[in-house]
Amino acid sequence: MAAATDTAARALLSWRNPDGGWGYGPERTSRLEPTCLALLALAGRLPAGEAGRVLGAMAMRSGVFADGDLPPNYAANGLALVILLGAGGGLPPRARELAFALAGVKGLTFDRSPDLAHDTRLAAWPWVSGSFSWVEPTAWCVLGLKRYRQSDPAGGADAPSPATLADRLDEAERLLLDRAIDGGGWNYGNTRVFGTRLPAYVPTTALALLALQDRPTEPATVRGVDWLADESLGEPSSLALGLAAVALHVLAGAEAADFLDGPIADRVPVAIDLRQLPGVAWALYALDRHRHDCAHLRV
Amino acid sequence: MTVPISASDLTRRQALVALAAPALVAAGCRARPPYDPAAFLLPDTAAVAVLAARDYALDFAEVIGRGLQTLGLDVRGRRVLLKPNMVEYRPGEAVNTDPRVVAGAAQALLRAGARRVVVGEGPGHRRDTEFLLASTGLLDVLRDERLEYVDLNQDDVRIVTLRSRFTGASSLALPVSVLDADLVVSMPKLKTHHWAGMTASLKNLFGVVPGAVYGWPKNPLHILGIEPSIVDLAATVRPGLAIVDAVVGMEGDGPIMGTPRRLGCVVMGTDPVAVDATCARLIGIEPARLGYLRTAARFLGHLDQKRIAQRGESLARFATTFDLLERWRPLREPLAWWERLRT
Repeated sequence: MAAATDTAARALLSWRNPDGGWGYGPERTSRLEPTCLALLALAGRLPAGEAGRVLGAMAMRSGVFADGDLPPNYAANGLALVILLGAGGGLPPRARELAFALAGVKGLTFDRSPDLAHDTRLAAWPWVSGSFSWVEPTAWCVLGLKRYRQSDPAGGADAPSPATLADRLDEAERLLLDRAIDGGGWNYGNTRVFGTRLPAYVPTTALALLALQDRPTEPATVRGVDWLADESLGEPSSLALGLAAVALHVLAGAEAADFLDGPIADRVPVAIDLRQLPGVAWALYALDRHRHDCAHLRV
Repeated sequence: MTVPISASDLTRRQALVALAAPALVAAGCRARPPYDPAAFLLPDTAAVAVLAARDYALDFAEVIGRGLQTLGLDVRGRRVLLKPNMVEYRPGEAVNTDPRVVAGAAQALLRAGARRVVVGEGPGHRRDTEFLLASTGLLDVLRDERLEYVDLNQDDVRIVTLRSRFTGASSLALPVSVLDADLVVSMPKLKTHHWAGMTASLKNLFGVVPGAVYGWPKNPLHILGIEPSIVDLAATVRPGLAIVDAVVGMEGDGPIMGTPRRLGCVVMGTDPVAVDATCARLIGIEPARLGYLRTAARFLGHLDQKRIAQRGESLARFATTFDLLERWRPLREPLAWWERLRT
């Protein structure tokens, strides 16, 4: 395992751009999401405070991070809030501003459709403004705002109000529970279309479970953990296995994901070869989990 | 701005588009169209090659090489991006462009003198490219053929001005690997599509829209309208060649949950509208009933059978009737003469 960990860490360090950020692979323009994932995976291998310095230098627009002229990506911003808040401690610069902005972002809603099984009237977080709510951005924003609420309980005039936060998180949790697949787990956010049940995916199941980790007795959470334990080896990729290991570690206990370590290590060279930074980063973070205990992702 | 920035903007824009589109038709297109006609001059006819391919054990480099010769396409010195359809993994189902067809296309194009061939895709539901590549068998093909793969969902992007504005949007971020290619080859699997009716070389272009910018699914395209988004993407990307895997297609609840249906051919052409119109006829759909194809035929290619020079095998040899979801069954019905006039 140590060899795979070293290989993944070396790859991520070598893919870093001169501006301090990371793109989605080597020689790619720095973007918010891969930068956050690399900072998460390399925590403990970079100088203390590096995540805050890197994110502190990135451009914000209307309170959220944006990659140049691209529309702000709210999944990446939820992740950025998680990274800013680090492994605990005080409230870092920009976290309150980002939390305030994210608390004001809502996905579009529409009347229920007979074509879709889920409740289209629920609003959580979209990938980009002007679109509907989906599992991945909702999971990251829920996780980020739950961690923010713990870090800044007193709030202030420039912070999202506790009532607003509670309302947003409550509706977002209801949306995640509503988007769970009957047989367990989550995909990107459609459960049934035209009456046909769609399959669950490992990465989105892991993210939804991390967002719902403080609701462990919810039937969808219980089914999701079981599904992940049973099915994760069926999606043999560094991204899926890495995320599955992290979610199982957080929700099912420190030893629950050990069976995934070998397969994750096997996938690291493939992800590097395909220049898939998210996969390499999640593999590294997962293989390191007994050291950091996934402290960044706990609520 | 690349996507609507608020629900109110969106509603206003959509309302404008919705109001404007029928008005354009009613006016016999006297109003200024949402594209520059001078930028879309079409030849009088378009050649479409239909090539027999009974199963995936064939030498697809030979089949597609023959298609390139039939079409007279010169690819010498060109940097080619192959854009297959790799959307989901369902073992044994006809969801994705078969990797053997992709390998054959790469070999044929390189033999014909292409300088470089890269394979690129941006799956719309799953962001886990490593899993999809490995599970669908495309990863083995990439290794065997020593082909470079680019994840279009996570590629670097540039914001470009759309070359038509049926969506009402003015610009979109697109992958540099698509924008910098000399020749984009759309390589779909021929399938029914529960939101668009049919998916072939034009709908396949949704996969060039970067998920890392617009998300999974690529929901802004749905919000702007699937059909106008297909047209605006095709007008902007301008695929120079379409190679459709119609060896085994998908009927019913496509593009993922449908049923495999054997057709036994590959359809190729440099006019994607003509290729898709031919594919529609192949599976028993009246092409002019597909809204996006009808709109695309105004400026991107030929839909009228009289303007399509069919080469290779007879279409009748492979023609069948795909099962369609009930909502799409009217696609089978011929258009009245007065409706044809408007297309």
